[in-house]
Amino acid sequence: MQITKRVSYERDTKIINAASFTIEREDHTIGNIVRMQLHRDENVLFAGYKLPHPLKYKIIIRIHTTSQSSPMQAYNQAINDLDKELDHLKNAFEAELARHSGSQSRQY
Amino acid sequence: MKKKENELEKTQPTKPTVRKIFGTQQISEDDALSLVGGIVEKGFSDNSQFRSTGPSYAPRPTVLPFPVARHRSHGPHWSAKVGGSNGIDDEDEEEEQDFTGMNMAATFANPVQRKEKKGLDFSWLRETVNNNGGSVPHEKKRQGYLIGSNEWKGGKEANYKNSDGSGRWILTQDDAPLTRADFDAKEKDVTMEDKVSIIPEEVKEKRQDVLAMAIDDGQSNFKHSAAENFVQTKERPRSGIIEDREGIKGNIEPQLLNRPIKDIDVDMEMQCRPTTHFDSSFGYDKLVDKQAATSLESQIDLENRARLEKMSSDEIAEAQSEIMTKMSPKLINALRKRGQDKLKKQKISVSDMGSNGSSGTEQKEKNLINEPAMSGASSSSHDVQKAASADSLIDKDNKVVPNLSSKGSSLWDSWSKRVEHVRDLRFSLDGDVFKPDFAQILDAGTKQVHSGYSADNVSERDFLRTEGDPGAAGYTVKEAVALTRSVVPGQRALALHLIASILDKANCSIYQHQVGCNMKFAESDESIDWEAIWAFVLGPEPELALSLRISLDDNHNSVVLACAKAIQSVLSCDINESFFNISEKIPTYSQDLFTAPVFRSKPDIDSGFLRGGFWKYNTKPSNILRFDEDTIDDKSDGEHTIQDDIVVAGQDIAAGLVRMGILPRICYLLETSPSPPLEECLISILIAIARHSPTCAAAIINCDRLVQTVANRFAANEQIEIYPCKIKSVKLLKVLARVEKKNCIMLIKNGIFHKVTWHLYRYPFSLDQWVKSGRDVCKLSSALLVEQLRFCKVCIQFGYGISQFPDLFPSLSIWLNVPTFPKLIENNVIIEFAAITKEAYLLLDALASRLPNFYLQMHQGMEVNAEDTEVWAWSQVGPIIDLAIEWTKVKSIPYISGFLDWDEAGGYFILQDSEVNCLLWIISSVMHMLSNVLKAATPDDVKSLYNGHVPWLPEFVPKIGLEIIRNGFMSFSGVNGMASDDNTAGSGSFLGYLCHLRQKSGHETSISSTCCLHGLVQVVASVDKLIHLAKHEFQNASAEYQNFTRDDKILAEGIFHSSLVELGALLSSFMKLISNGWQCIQSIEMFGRGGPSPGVGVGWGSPGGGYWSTTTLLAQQDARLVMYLLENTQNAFAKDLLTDEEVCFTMQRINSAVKACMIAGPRDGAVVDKLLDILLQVPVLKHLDFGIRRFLSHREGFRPFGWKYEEEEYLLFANVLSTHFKNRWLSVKNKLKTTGNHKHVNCKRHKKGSLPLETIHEDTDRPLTVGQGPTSLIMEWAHQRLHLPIHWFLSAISTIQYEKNIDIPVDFVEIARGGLFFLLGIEAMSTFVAVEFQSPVNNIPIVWKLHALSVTLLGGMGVLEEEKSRDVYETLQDVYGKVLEKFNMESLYFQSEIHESYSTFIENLVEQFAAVSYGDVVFARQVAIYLHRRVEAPVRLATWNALSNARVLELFPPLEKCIAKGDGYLEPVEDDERILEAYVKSWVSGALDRAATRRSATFTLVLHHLSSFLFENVCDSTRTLRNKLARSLLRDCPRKEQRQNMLMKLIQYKKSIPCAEPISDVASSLQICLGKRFQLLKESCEGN
Repeated sequence: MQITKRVSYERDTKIINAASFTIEREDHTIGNIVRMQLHRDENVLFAGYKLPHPLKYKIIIRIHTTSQSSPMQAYNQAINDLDKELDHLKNAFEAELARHSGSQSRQY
Repeated sequence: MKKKENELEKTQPTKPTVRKIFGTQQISEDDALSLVGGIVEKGFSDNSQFRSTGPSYAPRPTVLPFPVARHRSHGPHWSAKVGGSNGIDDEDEEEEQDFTGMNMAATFANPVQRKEKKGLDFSWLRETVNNNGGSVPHEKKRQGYLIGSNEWKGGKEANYKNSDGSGRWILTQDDAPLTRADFDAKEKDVTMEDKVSIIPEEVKEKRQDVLAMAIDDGQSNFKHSAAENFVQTKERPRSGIIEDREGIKGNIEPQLLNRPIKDIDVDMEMQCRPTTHFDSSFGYDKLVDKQAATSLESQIDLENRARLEKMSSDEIAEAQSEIMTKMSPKLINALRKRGQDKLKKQKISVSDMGSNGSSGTEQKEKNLINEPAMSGASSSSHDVQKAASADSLIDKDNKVVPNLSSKGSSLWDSWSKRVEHVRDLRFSLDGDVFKPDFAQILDAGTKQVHSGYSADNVSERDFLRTEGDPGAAGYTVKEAVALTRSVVPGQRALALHLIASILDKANCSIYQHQVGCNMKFAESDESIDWEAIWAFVLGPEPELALSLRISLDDNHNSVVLACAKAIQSVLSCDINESFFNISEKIPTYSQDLFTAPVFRSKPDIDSGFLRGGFWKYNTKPSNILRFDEDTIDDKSDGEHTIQDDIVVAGQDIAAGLVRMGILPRICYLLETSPSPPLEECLISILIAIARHSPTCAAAIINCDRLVQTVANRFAANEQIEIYPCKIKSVKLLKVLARVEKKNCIMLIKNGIFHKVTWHLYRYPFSLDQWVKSGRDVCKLSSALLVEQLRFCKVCIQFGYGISQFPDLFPSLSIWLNVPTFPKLIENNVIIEFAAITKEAYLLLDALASRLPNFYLQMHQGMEVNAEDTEVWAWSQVGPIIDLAIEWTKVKSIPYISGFLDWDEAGGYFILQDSEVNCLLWIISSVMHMLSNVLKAATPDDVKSLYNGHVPWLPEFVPKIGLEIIRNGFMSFSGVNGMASDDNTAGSGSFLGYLCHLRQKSGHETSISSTCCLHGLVQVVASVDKLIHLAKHEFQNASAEYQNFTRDDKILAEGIFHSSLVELGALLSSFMKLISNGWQCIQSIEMFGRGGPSPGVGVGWGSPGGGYWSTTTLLAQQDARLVMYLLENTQNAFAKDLLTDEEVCFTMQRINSAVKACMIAGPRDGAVVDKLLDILLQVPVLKHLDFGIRRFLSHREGFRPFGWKYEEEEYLLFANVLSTHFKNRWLSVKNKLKTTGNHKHVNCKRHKKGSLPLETIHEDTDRPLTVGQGPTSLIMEWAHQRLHLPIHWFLSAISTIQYEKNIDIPVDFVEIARGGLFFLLGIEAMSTFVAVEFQSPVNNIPIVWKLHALSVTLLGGMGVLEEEKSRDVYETLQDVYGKVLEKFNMESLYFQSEIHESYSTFIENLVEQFAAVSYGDVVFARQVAIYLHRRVEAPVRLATWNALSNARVLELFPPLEKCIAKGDGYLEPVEDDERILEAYVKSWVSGALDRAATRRSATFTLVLHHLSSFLFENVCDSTRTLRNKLARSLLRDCPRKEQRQNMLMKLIQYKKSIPCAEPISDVASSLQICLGKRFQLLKESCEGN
């Protein structure tokens, strides 16, 4: 098991309600989707991510929220929402697949 | 009016003659006979009978070309063309028709035989006829086209065909219905006239009849009055022959358009001949039949113009020359005269052409511009170039088209066009250009076409011209080069002489230009474009280097000599030497420069795209030596071809010559005891090669026996007599020694040094003897001695031969003494004497810099330096100082004391300028020597001294000081109000005089006076310093102090201090001078190169010599002096609070330091270093801060900072910035450091001194440091960066990363903070200065400044995170916003100005913004600037797309808070379709949703531009796009409530009302407006 944390959290000292999350061993795949999910959040003022270096396998996500929320909250919310959405997608896909393969097996 | 007349004419019933004309030769033989006969008579019988009868004979056109040539060049094409080479660009139907047409025409193609009855030589014509089938299809096609497009043909057309001898007209008529449709569809550029003159065909026919009749009449007339014609020619109306000629071209053209280019020539030939023939006679007809003529004339004119429009330029040129060839010389002359008259008249009488005529010319112009592109599609690029050049030549000729070259084309384009022009220039044997008059221009366009030689005068042809156009006068460059390979030795020699004289002329003319007057040339056609000529000759195309190299191997001595002379000119030996001669006289330069051409490496993103990269050699040094051991190891020898050599020579001609093995050949030639002139030439060439680059110099050293041979030849005739080549030999050896220390040692060790400098050690003879030996001998011996002294100096600078000084001294002493001037003047040898004296003192100067420190020596005793280099002994210095002091007693030296009265009655003119100059050089070298001695006498480390004072002062120090005071070098007018009773010099001081000379005289005198001033100031400063150090002695005896004389008092108080006012004036006058200088020098660099051509020297072909000019030298000397003065008057910065004047003054000082930095050349690294030290010190920064505060509090729109910089911050900035600038700009590229291979010369990097680069610990710039001398006394341009670019100080904020090889950890945020502060400081201060002291910061384009600000952010957010630098940054944004508002005309060309791939940069910046900014407002403002309306569309588009993709459009502040006023973003309304589409795309994709809620500027932008586009300025041209956009907006709308709101805002948008406010007090007009808008939307959706 990997001992190091996957995600580390660091509050920004200059701006309130702003923080950066460093996610180890992830790249644009996760970075982009999380960012776009964060953009949907009304309380998020800024959400961006970057790969600090092409050879460093990690991303840094920066979030700035309104006072109604907090970066951590927004981040968790985004992850949860994404989870749900993907689950839903997966279920829908599998259901459709089952239906399709069912109909196929009926044919042959 | 004319038109009406025409119409009347057209409708005249002349039908009955129609048939006759059309079928002339078949149907009515009489007509045909008379017609053909007429032509024949003019063309042949007259010709052959009267050609030699003299001037009484009327000029007439000839149709007889030079028979042999014609056959050779055109025969083969004829048969081939018949097949299918026509109509390649055509539709297939067209081609088929052609074939049928051809076949049919062939049946008519025989009547020409009738002409044989005249008993003339028709052989050429018979060929034409036999091949007639070839031309027929084109003829027909043309006619079809002409009819099809309803163009009025004119009778010419008909006659033309008639004279061709076939009844093709009928055919054409048959075909007309078919082709007409084709052409109507195809020809999109149907001109105005075409449309206007849509006339029924019958009418046309009638007109043709009229015409034909007229012609018949005319020709019968003509037959009888051959002599009259000449007169008539002159009298004919304006639209006479010239237009006719154009008409012919016009006739020819359409088919040319439809056919492959290669056939054009042939066709032209065939068709032009008869046409021309007819045409010239046609002009006369018009006079005879007046009524017909006037109408015809205008019609033809009209038609001609229409035709001309359709011709491509080279076709025009070809047609012109074709005509020229067909006419007799007299007629040509007459026409030419007429043409010139016409040109004069043209401007006044444009209306004369008639309404159609003028519009026609306009269109013609347009066509001329478009044509090259059109022909480019079908022809090779070479053709395009030719077309382009021919194009502008014609333009020039007609004076109608203004500047083709300058309009909308970049600098490089216009330059290459200029160079292309040279291709057609012809040179006479003495190198002059034949003025491009009428004939020249016409000839120039075509080379294959043959000139007016006929069978009769063909023997007069110049058989030397075996290439190109044999008919034209003079030679083109390529012809001359080709002629060097002639089989006739005389021709080779002649060609080489020609080349040499062209090059010499070009050299001289370039050098006479003004430095930096770039590229203004193209428009003025009076003068000859020598820069372009130089570039073309040296360029890759003529392959000059190869020919020269081949010619040098010639076995004819005359050819070899001529070739050597030509090479000498190519390498511009003479002018280079004169430059280096002056440069060597300057005592402050111990180094020379290598002359190899260089260019700058491209800017990269790590340096923020800033200009001013490292210089690189045009040719890689490894390419110069072909027979290098390494390369033999690496590659197989077989890979080298002569093409490689040519490529190298194209990059750098000297390198190419060396590569082609010129050195062994020269060595051989020298060994065969050549004639003195050849030897001189050869050695000059060697000098030039040695000066070229380290590699070339090494090649000379390594060339077997070469150096030895030169030395042997020097020693061979050991007589006292001196030859010029001896002088040059010494010079060569000197240059070789300078290149490398190793060479110097080698030359000393193998005795060559002694062999060539023995003159110096000769038994000292008296000056009288020298003078008596005669002026010529004096001259030669002076030149030789100067070179030998220089050679000695080189050795001494390397640290050798110092011990031999005692031997040298006795013979030198006669030169060191102040001579008895009358004798010298009497014999007119003062200049020669002065040259030697000056050089001797320069030698002593070099020696003096080898002195060990006076006090060091005292303390440590005589410690012998352990190294192989030697030091000079102080014991020998004494007498020399005495001698030198004699020279400083300017008052007692007659002729110099005269200077001091300069302001009274212009007394200083007693001496010639050159004599003043040479005396000044002496004084300057004396001064520098003294200052070096004084420097050696100054203790290095003041602290280590007892009490901080020197124990005792050398006697000579006050002596020098007193002499300076006594001799009126300075006026000391301000000293203690002392009565200047003994100040005999009046108000004029020597310093004032020098200053005056600097401003008033020529370059060299200016340089010498500046050097003098520099030396003087240096001596004064050193004396002051020493006396100050020793002052405690004076203090002890303060009682005596009162009794001092004025002079002593001044000395005690410090000369510098006493003359501060004078020095201040000096400084300010020089500050003015350098502000001219820096602009001049900055303008030299263009195309990213030092010069535009690949040669050696003369500034690599840039005007006035560019960097290699005395102007540059002078500016650099000025900069040096300014630097020195600034350094020594630094205490002015000490004060804290300033008044307005003081601010101004400080700003001037800062400005001039910045300017001086930009003047400094490769040799001035130390100067820049010092200047940076002066510029970046805490007091200066404090002043800048003070300036910023004043600026902020006085300007509206700015608020003062709420904080202050601390003392430590100033210190930090000063340190960080100066390290940065020095690293950035003064570092030397050192990539070969790791190889450690010192076999190779090019591995040896010259290590430039006083660089803060950690890896190089030596401080080797000045030979002051005893022991480790420099390894070379010649600087390379390559591998360093000076001259600085204008925006050099932006580097602090726009550097992201250094070059890889500098591995010092640098805190870029600190640098950027410092840089921002410095930049704001300079900006702020520049607002306080008067206009004439304009700060360089104002000359940097705003684009660069904005760009630099962006680059800072690309590196990281560090700058914005710190409060102070954030404020500074924001203030800078505001400052530049104000600038943007102020100059609201200029565009922000980020892409074209800064880097071609600027979009990538933008994407990176936006990425950075999206990832880490937290939506920082300052950052957002910076990004938003790229959406400004004045930014180029591609950049704006890239920015918008990047922002949209990154979903950060909402992060922008409202528009009011952006940089500059919001209007700049909104007006003018966006018209770029792609950007509008991008707007809609972001709208639809939802990227704008949050921007709308957050009132981001981006949403305002979209609202404004979209609503303006959709609802205002409604016009048809944009309808489709508008519909498309509106539809996608509407379709998107119902899905989301948010979008609906946005759409409402869009519809309700009005610029004056901020979009977010509810439209509460809506006027009813707005309601109406809204209604309209809804209507429009509905329309655009077409009911969906």
